[in-house]
Amino acid sequence: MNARSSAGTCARSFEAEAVRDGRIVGDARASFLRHAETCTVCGRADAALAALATLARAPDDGPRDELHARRERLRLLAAFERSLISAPVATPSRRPAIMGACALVATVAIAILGASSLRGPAAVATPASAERAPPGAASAEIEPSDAPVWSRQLDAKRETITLAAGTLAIRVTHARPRPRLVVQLPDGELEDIGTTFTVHVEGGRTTRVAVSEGSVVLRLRGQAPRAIDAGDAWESDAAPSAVASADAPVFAPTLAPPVASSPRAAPASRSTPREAPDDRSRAAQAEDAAYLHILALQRAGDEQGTKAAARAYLARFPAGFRRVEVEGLSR
Amino acid sequence: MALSTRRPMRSLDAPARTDPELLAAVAAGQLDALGVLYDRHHIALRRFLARATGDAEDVDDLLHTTFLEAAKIADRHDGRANARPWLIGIAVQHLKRRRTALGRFFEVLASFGGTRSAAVDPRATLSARSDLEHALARLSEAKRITFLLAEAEELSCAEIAALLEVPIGTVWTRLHAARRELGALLAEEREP
Repeated sequence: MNARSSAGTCARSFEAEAVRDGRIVGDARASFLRHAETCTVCGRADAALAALATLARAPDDGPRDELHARRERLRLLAAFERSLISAPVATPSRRPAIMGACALVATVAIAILGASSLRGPAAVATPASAERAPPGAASAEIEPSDAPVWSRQLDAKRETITLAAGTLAIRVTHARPRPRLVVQLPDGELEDIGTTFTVHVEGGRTTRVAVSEGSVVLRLRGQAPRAIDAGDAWESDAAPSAVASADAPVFAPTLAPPVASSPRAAPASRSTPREAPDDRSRAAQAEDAAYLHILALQRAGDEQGTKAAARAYLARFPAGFRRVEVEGLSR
Repeated sequence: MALSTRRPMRSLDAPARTDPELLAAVAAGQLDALGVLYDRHHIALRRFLARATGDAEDVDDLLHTTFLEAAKIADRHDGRANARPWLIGIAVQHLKRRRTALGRFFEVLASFGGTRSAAVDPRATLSARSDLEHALARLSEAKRITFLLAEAEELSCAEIAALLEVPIGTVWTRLHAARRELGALLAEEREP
């Protein structure tokens, strides 16, 4: 029976919501659906509910801050990594293997350039090739570039990489447990917190640290420790700006524009850049945009597009600080 | 531990892992799996939290807390193919705790005399980009969350009741009230 009245109401209109919420099922539901096909009031009520639901599910068309999303992503990964490291994990069976592997590592000749101030283990010169410790021992892949002088030492609790000159790109694997990773520098040290990063030393001084994933803490003698997060870079002549972070409330610099560093320049962390800041800022933003474009293509599963974009990045930014990672993506 | 051979940061050749596979990997301590899970769900979760709280300042921290909590309890995932409802559930639990804490705060404020506790969260200052978000911000948080869970996240009323730990009748009542108020508010927004 059609319960429509001339006033444009229907006694069954409440059933539209009941059907939607699962309060009416089975035959009663089917009955209402049949009724709604002929009743304009109930049909309108049902359509209004559906329209509201469609509105609620509509995708967000607003602009997305990719860099912010990546920083938040890496803040999350760093926090999770810390929770893993702080959780005690008993793997006694691994320790004899690690100690045994350590015995195989330290056979390289020791050479330190101006390294009288180096602390920790002795520096060892190695040829410019990708260096890996014996399997089962270390947790970092290291790719040297520009013939660096560096060495590596591992004990049960700590892996130490000593960099005397040149550039190393370091990627830390995330299997646990793993020893603490520290990079000894001529003028300080860099501690990794589950990371992919590049560090450059020139003239006995650390001149640049760039982090792709995770975060590091840079401790240079005579300066306050700095935390450098993914997507950020620190250069010795730059003036990093601190950004508050829930996990690193003291030191979290934002992405600073690259500054040309001179080996003779005083290691001032707050000096004014010598070149035009606007040009450098634009160049840095262009490099960020090119890098984010590569990542977007990769996330979308476009393999060919990723490689093409990576090659374009390398052609445009041959000295870009994400060069090592992008080279990997271009193959 | 074996050192991995040189490979791209994110493999383009391997088939995408399912949410249950990712959560199993996260439970085993694999960071990259958490990263993939984040990439897959953070936009939807962020949108839910932004609408649910009506306060953009909270969203980053709520999102961070939700994923971190998910990573810690990954071994308790219910195995559903899509982890998003499970993640939303964790987010809702955090919202409840936050609301309880805020409720106590507002009670303290009210006790200073002359301050009336508001039924609607007075911090709803989200810069809404749509009429719906404007209207949602004017609902109470309880109705807003119930509506979003039902219509945006498409959970059943029974699932919502279990999630919010309220009777299903309460869910029906809140939904009905939310729809009625939203309908009126949207009509108001669209008036010239």
